[in-house]
Amino acid sequence: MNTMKKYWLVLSPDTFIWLKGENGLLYQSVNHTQVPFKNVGTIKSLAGQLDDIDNLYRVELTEEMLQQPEVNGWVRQIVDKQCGRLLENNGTGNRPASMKPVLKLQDGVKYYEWLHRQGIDGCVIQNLHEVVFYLNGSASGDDVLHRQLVYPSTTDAVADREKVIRFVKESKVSPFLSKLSLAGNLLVFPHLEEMAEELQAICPVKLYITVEDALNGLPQLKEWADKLSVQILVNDFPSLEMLLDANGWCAGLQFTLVVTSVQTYEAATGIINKYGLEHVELVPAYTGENLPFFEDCIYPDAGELAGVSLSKKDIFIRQTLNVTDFGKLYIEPDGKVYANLDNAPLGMIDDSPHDLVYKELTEGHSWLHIRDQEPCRECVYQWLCPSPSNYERVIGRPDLCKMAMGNEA
Amino acid sequence: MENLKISSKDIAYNLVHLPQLVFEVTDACNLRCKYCGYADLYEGYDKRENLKFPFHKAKLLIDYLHVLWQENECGGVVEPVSIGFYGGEPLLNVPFIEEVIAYLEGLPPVGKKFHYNMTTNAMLLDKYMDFLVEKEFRLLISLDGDKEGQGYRVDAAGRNSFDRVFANICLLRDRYPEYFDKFVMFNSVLHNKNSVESIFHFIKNTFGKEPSISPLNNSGIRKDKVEEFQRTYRNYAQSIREATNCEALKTEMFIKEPGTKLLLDYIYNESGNVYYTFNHLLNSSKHLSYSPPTGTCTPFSKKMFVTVKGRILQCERINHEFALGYISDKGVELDWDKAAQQHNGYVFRYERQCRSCAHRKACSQCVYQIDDIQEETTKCNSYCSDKQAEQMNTYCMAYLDRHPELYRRILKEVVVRG
Ligand code: SF4
Ligand code: SF4
Ligand code: SF4
Repeated sequence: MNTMKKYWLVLSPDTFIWLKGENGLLYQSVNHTQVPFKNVGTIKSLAGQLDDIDNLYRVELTEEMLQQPEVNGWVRQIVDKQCGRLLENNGTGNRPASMKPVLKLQDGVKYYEWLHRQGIDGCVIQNLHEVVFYLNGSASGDDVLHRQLVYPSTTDAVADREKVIRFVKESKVSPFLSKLSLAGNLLVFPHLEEMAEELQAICPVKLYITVEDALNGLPQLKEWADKLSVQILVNDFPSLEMLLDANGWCAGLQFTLVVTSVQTYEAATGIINKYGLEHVELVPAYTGENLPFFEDCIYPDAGELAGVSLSKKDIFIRQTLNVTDFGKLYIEPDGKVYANLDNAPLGMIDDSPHDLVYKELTEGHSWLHIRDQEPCRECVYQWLCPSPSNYERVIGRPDLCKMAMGNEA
Repeated sequence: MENLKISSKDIAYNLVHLPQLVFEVTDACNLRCKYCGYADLYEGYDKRENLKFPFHKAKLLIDYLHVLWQENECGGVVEPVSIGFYGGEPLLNVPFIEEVIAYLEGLPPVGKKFHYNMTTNAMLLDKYMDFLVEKEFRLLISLDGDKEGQGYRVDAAGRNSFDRVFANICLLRDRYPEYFDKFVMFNSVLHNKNSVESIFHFIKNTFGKEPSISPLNNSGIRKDKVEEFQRTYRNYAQSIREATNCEALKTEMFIKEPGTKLLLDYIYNESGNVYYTFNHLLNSSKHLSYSPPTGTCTPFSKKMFVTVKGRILQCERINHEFALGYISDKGVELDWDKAAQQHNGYVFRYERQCRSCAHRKACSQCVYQIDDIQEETTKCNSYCSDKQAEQMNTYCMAYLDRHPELYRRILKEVVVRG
């Protein structure tokens, strides 16, 4: 009679298992611990069985297996980090079971396509959450920054105010529309305030203006800031200091400080401390010449990846959609509409928001752009890393990550 | 919970996006089913008076909605609106149905696409099938299985309706096979003359369709009829257990099997792995549409039901005392504020229980189905303590352990629509 003890190893329903060739990773999404491992030998076979959804996240282990040092160490880590449990299999049929964290998104793009074929599309527009209107360009605009964050370009084109209003009215059918952004040299856009107030009645409006433009119309800016939310875009720090010196007030203003090097980072934090600035975000940007700084900013290193604290839902979101782009449309002064300014336009401002949203969801490359390309596809950190960003597009090279292909696993 | 109360704005939103408008076309019927809502087993329904819905009132209601839809029309957006015809037996008032459809289809477009549905006993199907097929009616045919199972669906003279109904359904299938395939479904009532197995197999083997089977409605039973009700009633789960090959039947029925249905609800509500839409997944809860306490839908978020006498309700399954408005000869009398208040008044009666109930996040209890809702001492009998919830979880996981493939199948194959 075989009296060898048997066990069940069962993973917790909050633990993800990712297997990529010889690398494996367990990630516990409640206590945020990780168990990286070599996916070889007995462990490979056990991990493979755990990964099979029909096995209900459990696998049978024999005493003999548990005596193998690698398996033992692996199981101990799993238990210690609460990624799973080890139970004696006493043959009573009381097997443990768990539901592997696999997302079911019931009504995704396929459902929208199905509805579309029936001639009904009502709910697609609900995915529109934010529209960014560039009303004009600015002498202090920057065409490279324009592709990376909300920042005016240098164009001479000017948006058609009636079309902007019509577009917003047609968008408001989305109960999820929660932000309208107006960007450009707003001080010279005719009747800006009237328009912003009309739009504000539909959905909260935010104005984006460069610090250089802001300096040309401080009294006007103060009036706006009393009624609307205003974001000052700063790529030129001396101008920011001028604004802060010239101005007893900055309550109600929010700031985006563009950081392109270690020096600009230090300058930015210096100003924040000196003036006690609140409501500030520091945004790294690529200038075409700062690749090393930039790589450090966008690609996570081993330490950052080990410290990730994402919930199960956060991971499902990263597996499904682009966290930065999803739900946003950008409209240039010439009327071209984009889901992301680095991709081809989806259509024109004269098109219905509904049709544009449908097009992006079914044919576009932005809202659903997830980290599923080389080398990330083959990396166990695929879903712990942030959604792919415009920065990666601007640099034009997806393969700069040092972690790629398990270099550090 | 104050912020979860609804207001006239929610009512307005729901009306603008009304998914279903259902007319009680007539309260007359050509059958005398023993367990029918109009039969004397139940309390609280209008007595059957052989009335027909007057078209001019339907027109007033359609005009009222059309104005709202027009005011809120948005380019490119086409929302489906299902127009339902309910009875009695709706085919006893086909001229009304024809008029309503002609009127709807003659209106200027307002970003709505209408489609039609009907529940029928199929007695008059031979006479009207061409019209139903032309308009692509989604047809739900009531059939309780084979001749014996159909034994409570009798005509005025007490004769079993099976032969006529069956012949009519076969005629529809033979004459319009494609339509039959795409648009026809069956529902059956379970009672002591049939069983889940007999119904399921009869309809599946004969028509290639899986019926929805429901037990008798056990709310609102007249006190003097309780014994008769109990004789007629058959328990769903027990009926499956009594099947010749219970496990095979369960597999075949998939989510129509109550154990699998429980597991489905558990996976949908408790696993944290199921999301309905992108917005649901992103769940900035401020974005998410209003989610009421209890499982009661907010008025008109699912449908509007209008009785043959012109009362406006939020669905056909609830007692007429919960009417929210009515159609007079002059127009639609529907006070949005009052409707919202009335709804809040009923739903918040259970607030204290709901606060500590394990079902509160995914409750499926409609308060209008609670028999003593009008009493001061009313209680929700579906209340679930944490301990009961734990037992339910254990039960579901044990069930899953016996049928491990169901997790994958439920994630991959199932779609749940409200
Ligand atoms: S290769 Fe891709 S997924 Fe892996 S760590 Fe780098 S960026 Fe993240
Ligand atoms: S039964 Fe209740 S919850 Fe269901 S549709 Fe009717 S009113 Fe709404
Ligand atoms: S089941 Fe629970 S949450 Fe639902 S109505 Fe009853 S007490 Fe409230």
